[in-house]
Amino acid sequence: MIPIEFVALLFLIAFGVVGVIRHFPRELGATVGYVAMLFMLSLGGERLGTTLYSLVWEGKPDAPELNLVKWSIYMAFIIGWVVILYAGRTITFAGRWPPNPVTGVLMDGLIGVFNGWLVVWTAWHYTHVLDYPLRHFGLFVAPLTERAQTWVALAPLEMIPSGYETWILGGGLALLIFLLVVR
Amino acid sequence: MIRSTSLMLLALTALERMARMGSIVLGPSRPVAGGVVITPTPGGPTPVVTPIVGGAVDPNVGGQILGPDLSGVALVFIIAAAVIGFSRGVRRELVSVAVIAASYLLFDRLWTLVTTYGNRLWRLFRFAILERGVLAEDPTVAWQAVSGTDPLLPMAEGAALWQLGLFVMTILVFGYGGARAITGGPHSVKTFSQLPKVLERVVGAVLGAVAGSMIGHFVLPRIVPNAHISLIGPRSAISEHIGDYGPAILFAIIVILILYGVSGIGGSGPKQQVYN
Repeated sequence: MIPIEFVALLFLIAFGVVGVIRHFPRELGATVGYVAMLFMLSLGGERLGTTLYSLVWEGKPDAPELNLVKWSIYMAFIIGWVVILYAGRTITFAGRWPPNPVTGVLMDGLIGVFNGWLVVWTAWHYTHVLDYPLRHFGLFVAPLTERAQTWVALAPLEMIPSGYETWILGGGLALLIFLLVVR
Repeated sequence: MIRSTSLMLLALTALERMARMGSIVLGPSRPVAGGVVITPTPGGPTPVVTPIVGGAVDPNVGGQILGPDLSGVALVFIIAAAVIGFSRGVRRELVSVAVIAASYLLFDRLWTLVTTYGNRLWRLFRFAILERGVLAEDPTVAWQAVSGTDPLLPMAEGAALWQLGLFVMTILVFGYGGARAITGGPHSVKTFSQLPKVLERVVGAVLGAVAGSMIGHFVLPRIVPNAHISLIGPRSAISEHIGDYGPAILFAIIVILILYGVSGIGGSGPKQQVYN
């Protein structure tokens, strides 16, 4: 079975390729959306699964595992968010691009990888915190490798110091919107 | 037996140290900022211990004995290269990073390929030029003399010295403008307005840091055998020293790169695509 860190890396490379194809002005527009997604998850993410679970399944004998329900909702939210950001008309920073071919491709790839880190590592973070509900489908076999344990700790929500999520993500979102509007 | 017992003791000491630091939680799975989660699940997977970057984990855990920790020396390489990157700016530093990355790949990962073709070319050179086998009446004599000699590039023992030499030569000549210095190429004197802007210099410094990291990872283990360099891993001495500032530094770099990218959106070049 492929180690989970390589699956994450594969997705990250895919985002990098998407970045090179879509170019920096469009990808930075997607970054605005991803930072907003993280902002919302940091504010109310904990309630995403528990509310639905308590409304629908709590107390019933055939209730599924809480972690599995929460994980499914997190993944649906993240995947839905990605689809919304890439489908149809997307947020784009107006202007001319690239400044020169080499720097242009580099920045395209970097912003794509950055977006990939925001999305893939956030999904991995919730999967890890919820004790890998993927194992219910036979898609995960414990234990994690040492490399995976190191890498999963590099998730955006894990790296932001506890208690500063609102300030850092809100500030980042405000900065990006400022750059989008006032230039 | 003694070794495994001492390893267990070391692992327990590391866990105890983390627990005392308030960075370990035993119990149901839940997120802990900057800490460790141990997730016991009845009938589920084996509980995992997840050290956070910068956490204290014994370097010998897992039975793998590592050499001296040269992360600090690697950090010196990174800072030095970042300063050079700052002075050169992003455009020139980009070339250096590309050359260093290619050299790293060639002389580290693809060393077998380099030795195979390098030794073939060396034998061809000896046969054709040194032994004059091409013009000899009986070329087989020259070929026998050549085929009996030792290969020029060693595959294993002694390879480190060759790898170091080739790596350093390549990055000095092609990466940092040594070729221009040797051949006496044009050294343009730039006016103040032509010098890289501050943002370009800062991004150059970031690229320089990447270059320094690659140089450190290539050079140091070849000078000190089994040297252990870990800049972001949990075993890293640097991670311990940087501590809480690591994420802040990372986010600062991300903001600088975004600002640099946004500053590049504009202009009126003929090959540029217009976004609105």
